[in-house]
Amino acid sequence: MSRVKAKVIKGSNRSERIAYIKTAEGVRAEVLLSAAQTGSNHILAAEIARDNNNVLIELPQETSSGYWRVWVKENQLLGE
Amino acid sequence: MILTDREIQIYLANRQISIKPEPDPILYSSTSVDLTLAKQLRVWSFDQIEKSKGEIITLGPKFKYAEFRDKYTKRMNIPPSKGYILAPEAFVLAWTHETINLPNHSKVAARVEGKSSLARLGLAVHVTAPTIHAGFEGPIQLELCNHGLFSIRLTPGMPICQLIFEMTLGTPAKGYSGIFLRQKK
Repeated sequence: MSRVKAKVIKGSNRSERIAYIKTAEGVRAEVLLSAAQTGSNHILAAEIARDNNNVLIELPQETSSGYWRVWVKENQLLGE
Repeated sequence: MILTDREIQIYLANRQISIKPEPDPILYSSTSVDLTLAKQLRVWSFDQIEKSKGEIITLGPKFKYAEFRDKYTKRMNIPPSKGYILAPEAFVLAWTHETINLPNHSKVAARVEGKSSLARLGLAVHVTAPTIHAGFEGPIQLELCNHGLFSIRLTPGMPICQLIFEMTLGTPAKGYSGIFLRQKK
């Protein structure tokens, strides 16, 4: 699992978090996660593929716009 | 057994199943692939329903679905810029943009299911009919129903449902020959 930079805020209950990830296209993807899947400034996601400086990651949940996978810039990864 | 993303891609590469056009990599998840909304819809013709004066559907050998559909629905294309507004409690027939083919010899069947992002808003994509039989070929018809409290804008190309592939145990004796084989949008 990789740690991906994210803005993480509290969700509607104590165990829920809302994370915002910047995609390679510059769009902010929103995803609802459990607290265990996030840190204060990152979320956990699986790396699927690489293409130049972009990395395809699979999120632990679907984004609000309906995608499980998003391309992010390599510099959004914080390492394992 | 459910096919993972890698198995789906291997099956596609080996032409054991086909999805046309082939899905973008971001449309996959671990065990499913998202399909997108086609521009064609069938919406209910309320003028005709009004004229029917409370017709009751009697299911049986004399009931002809195609005739019923043609009488009470009309085809339309979703305007690409404005989309189609699905009001609360509205129900329309839609299709996936992608055409799928599950040849019998591939021993694969599938299920079409909703997506959590849409389910949270109240949008259902089928009415208790998720099974895609081995042997099926065509676009998948979706029964879109808005159970939510807000209108939802539907736009062609949006991820609308997910397809989960399952291996069958053995090859079916009879290929799928249901009335929806090679159904058209």
